[in-house]
Amino acid sequence: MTIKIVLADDHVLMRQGLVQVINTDTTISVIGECGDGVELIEQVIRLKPDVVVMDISMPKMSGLVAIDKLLSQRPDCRILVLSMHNELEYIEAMQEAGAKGYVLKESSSDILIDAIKAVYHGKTAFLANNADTESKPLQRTSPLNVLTRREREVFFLVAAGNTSKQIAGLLTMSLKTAENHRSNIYKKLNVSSSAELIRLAGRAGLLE
Amino acid sequence: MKSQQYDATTRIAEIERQQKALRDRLDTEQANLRELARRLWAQQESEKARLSRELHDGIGQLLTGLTRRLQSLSTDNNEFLALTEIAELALADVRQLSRMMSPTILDDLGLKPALKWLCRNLLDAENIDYTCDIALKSDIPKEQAILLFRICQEALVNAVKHSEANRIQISLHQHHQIIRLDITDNGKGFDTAAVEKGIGLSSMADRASAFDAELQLDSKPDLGTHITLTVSL
Repeated sequence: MTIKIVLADDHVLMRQGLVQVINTDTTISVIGECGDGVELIEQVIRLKPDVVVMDISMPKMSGLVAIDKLLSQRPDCRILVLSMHNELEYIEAMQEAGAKGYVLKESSSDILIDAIKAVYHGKTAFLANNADTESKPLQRTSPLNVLTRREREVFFLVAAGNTSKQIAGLLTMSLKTAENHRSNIYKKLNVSSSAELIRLAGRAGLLE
Repeated sequence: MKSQQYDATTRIAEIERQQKALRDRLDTEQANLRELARRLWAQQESEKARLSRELHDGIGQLLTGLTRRLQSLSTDNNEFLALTEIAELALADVRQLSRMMSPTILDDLGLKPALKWLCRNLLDAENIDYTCDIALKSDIPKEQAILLFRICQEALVNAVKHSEANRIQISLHQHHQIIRLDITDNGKGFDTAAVEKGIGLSSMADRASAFDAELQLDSKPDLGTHITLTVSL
């Protein structure tokens, strides 16, 4: 079983180098390469890779927008960002956007391969190995912290695609109560539809 | 008598018409000037971006190569270690300069992370205590985002260089279509009437007016400086 990768970077030389590095590990294989965000989304939908390895600054569509689109199409998509920027703000923004890892382009190939494997196995890999991140460890708070226990149950049922009526049946509550929970959850999480809720759950890594 | 009155009325109407035509022309000329100013600022931005790329890809790459080779050579030799350190510092300086010239973070991540990054880079090293409070409701168009970023940059650089402040507050808020940036320091301030506007201050004001924004500067000796920029989207 090999880990299937789609790789996006607009610098062809950089990309070729990366493919070489990644392919030295026999358990990983690059099944698609592209040079901009639009192509990336097209390839991810078509090739269904296990992990997306992508640059942030790309033509046609910025990395941030591309991550957003990718996750709205495939909320369970595992994204590893590969970047030349070692600033804290970049790492935070990518983490908030829903990436699972962040590796610097100047990192050694071991670090990159380890990060790909970690992300594939559902872990996070924010290994920017710079002073910024060491002094201020990133803390990710779960969006579910604002919900009550009952609301969390409803949250997961909504995320699993259940209607209010089905949820009412599953949790033995009235339809009205289920709908109330649902609207409270939407308000607290600032979403307006179940699609948005699923997307948020996907970004927060709650869909596994 | 009647015809005299008639004459007067027609002449007044004629004068009013001419005045309106002049006013319209003035408005058009002013709009043209603003448009020209905007284009000049945009050109300056793209020139800076070009220089920034050259710095990064040219000298930056050379220094990266140099640093790596030195790093791989240096063992216990103190002289080597010192050289490596100088090369690393030079590389860091070039990168910092290149990023300040053309903040790619603004394109990559948007105004909020870009301003946080700016504050961190300009103020952390100076041991200035600061708060950066940003609450934006919508995406800011690129032109206005660059304006807000550059004004903030100029104001912070001025504060670091001249104010002797140890505390700065930065806040950016949005009310409907109006964005307001406030930068307040507790430094030594200056008499706004006595100090002739330096290039920095007048270029900030020029830049603001080119984008229909308003820049206000309040400062008194010993009472710090407060800059407000109001931008309508």
